[in-house]
Amino acid sequence: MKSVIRISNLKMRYKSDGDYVLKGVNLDIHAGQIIGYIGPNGAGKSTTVKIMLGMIDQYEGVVEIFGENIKNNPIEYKRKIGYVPEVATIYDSLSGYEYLRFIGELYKMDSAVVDDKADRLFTLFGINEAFYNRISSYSKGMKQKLMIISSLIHNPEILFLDEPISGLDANSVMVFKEIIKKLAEQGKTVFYSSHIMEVVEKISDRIIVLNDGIIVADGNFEELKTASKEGSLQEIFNQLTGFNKHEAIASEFVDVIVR
Amino acid sequence: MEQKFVLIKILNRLKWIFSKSEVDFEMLKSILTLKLTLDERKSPIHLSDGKEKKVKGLKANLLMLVFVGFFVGMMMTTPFDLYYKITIVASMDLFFMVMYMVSDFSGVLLDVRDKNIIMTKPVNQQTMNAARIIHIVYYMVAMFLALNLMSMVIGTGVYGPKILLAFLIMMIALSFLIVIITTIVYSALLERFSGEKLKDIINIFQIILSITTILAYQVAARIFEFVDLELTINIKWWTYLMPPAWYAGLFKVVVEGTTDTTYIIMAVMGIVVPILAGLILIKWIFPKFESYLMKLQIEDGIFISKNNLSSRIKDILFNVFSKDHTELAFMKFSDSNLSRDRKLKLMIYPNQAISMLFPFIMLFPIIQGSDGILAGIAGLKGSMAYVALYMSTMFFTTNFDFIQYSEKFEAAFIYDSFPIDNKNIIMTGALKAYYFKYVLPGMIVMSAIFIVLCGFESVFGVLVVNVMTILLLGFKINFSRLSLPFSREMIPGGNKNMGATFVYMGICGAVAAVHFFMLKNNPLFNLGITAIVMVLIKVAFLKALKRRIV
Repeated sequence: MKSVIRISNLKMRYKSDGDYVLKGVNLDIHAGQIIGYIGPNGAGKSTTVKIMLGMIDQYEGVVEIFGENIKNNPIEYKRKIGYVPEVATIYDSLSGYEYLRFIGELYKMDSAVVDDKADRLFTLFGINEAFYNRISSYSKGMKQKLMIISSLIHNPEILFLDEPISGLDANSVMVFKEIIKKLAEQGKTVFYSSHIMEVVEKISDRIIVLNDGIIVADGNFEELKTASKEGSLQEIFNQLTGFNKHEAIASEFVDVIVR
Repeated sequence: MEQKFVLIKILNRLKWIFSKSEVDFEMLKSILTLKLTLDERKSPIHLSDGKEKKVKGLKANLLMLVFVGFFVGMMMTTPFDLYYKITIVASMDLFFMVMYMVSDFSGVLLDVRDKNIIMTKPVNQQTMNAARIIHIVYYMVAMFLALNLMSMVIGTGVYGPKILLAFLIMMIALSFLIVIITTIVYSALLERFSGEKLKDIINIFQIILSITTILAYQVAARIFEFVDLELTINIKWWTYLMPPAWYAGLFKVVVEGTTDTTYIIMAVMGIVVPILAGLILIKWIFPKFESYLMKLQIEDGIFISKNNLSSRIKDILFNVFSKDHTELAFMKFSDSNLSRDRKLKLMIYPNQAISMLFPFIMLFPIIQGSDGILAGIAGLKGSMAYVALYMSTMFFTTNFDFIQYSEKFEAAFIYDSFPIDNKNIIMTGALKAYYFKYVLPGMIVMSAIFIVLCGFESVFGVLVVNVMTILLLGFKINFSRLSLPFSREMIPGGNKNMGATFVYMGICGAVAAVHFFMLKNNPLFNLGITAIVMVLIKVAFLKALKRRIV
């Protein structure tokens, strides 16, 4: 099978004399996979995603997407990727309609196609009454749905999702998980980074655990389970990241409060 | 999108400029249309009485600039040499354009939203950078036209239509020059620093630049008064470094057809320097600009020291002057916010500088009227010139209005979600913090200077001015309809309530007049008034706590 993303020996530090955030990451991802990308806060997950999106360019190592080094052609591959950022930065004085129109123009899509797709996706997500309202009036969940639509409207081959379900209600989460599965069946690659272990455990074909700038585990859930002899992804995660004090910390925390 | 923006229509005609570059013209238009749409929709101000007021920030500003330009345009009717007229006109243009560039359009240049939304799409850097520069240059040109409307009309009458060509060249060259130089300076700062530290440094840089421009403007205006009508053209080597002189030279060449080498050199500099700066920008700065912007997003923590001497002194001071525990909390809270909110500081500091400058501007005519400046200063001894301190009082206390604003005004929800039984205490706490942070230090410096200038007998009078300052602040929180501290969004050009400010200025003037005519330098009178005012201050603060919140 052909790899859509290949990362070799990726290193990154924000200051030329600072510590490395990524200390040599190697990855090879095939089309049609749903990758669960997990790791504790500050492990370097967002940095990896930002590098693949071309938002950071002073890294060491090689990143190839669709078989081409993204440093050689930093523009073309972006036509075929979609991105839902962790924090929804958005031009919120636009309406949802205007925002998607603008995104469509950046992808050079036909405006009639964008209008039609945008309208239907809004309706399917049950937020069509807000289509022409300013984004600043949207609730957190509505904004998140807009971000999801804007990441998919150009029919991308790779989808980068950073905590995509935050703010969504339970029913919408079910719909969204189903959408991801169906997209993978279509041969699209999904790169899903999240802190919610239950969701990652359920949807991912392959789970990659990043800790302190290196990959500490890589495989499907069954493989990870066998390797670590733990029952849930949460427990595997704790073991891999060397964390076993949650109860002690919790009881001390409550002691501090009630004392 | 349908094209309603003039800029896009103009760009359509200039498409050929971009044909050789890597700029994607259609995308450039999309991005600029988006930016202009966003600018049009700056959020409305919520007034305290619940009504919404639409603020046309830019349009109001442009009208103001036309008004300013009107007076400078009158210069065109004078018999002076064209070189001098244009030096003055160009200095004014430079002043206003740099001010707006730094205070209002830095955000446009350093917008990191673009990075997250646009740069993750197939848009190349050249297109994004071109959009940024054109977006700002467009506003610079609009400002230039507003400022010079009158000069152009009168100039055409006096010198014929050739002058319009000179204005056109200057408009393009000067607008680009300002935007390009600012971008280069920011990039130099970004090269050296990162994250929060960088934001602080940019903030300090913006404050310093605003203050110097204000000072330079005041001084420049004075110099021409000194020189009177005896203007002789006096060109030194450093004159060649002053952009206004370049454009004055340009006008001499274009309008009067002068072949004097001096003017030709200046005219050439006026055109060549912006082009060179532009080449530097494109060749060395732009390829790295995105990675510079990334540095703005790095979150490296800034350590806030907890126990140094000044914070301990502040603790003692706050403890003594706070009414109760809640007020103390809000004093500390306001003090931290006032020291850290960058946008707020950018509003306060230049005004603080004006507050300290104005009394001296008032003294200028007095000093100038006598024989020589030293004699003039000596003549102040024993006089009541310190009444000019009321100018400082007026500005310092008016500046207190800034307390309502914050970069993160949404955070004001804490006033409602926490158990605070009397919200007036938030205001009195903020007032005390503001007083200790900005008013008191400023007044101490100003008082000291004026006691030296006016001699020892002015001490009691100066004391009265100081207690009056506190009383006026007390008056302000009782009668002006200020919103709770840090609870309102700042909007460029839309933050002041002009009517109320004028009334307040009148009151300050009346207080100063009463002081001047009734109290004189009589120590007994002054001490008596001080005592009465202290009682009034106490009453004002007690009353402020019982006020009904609007």
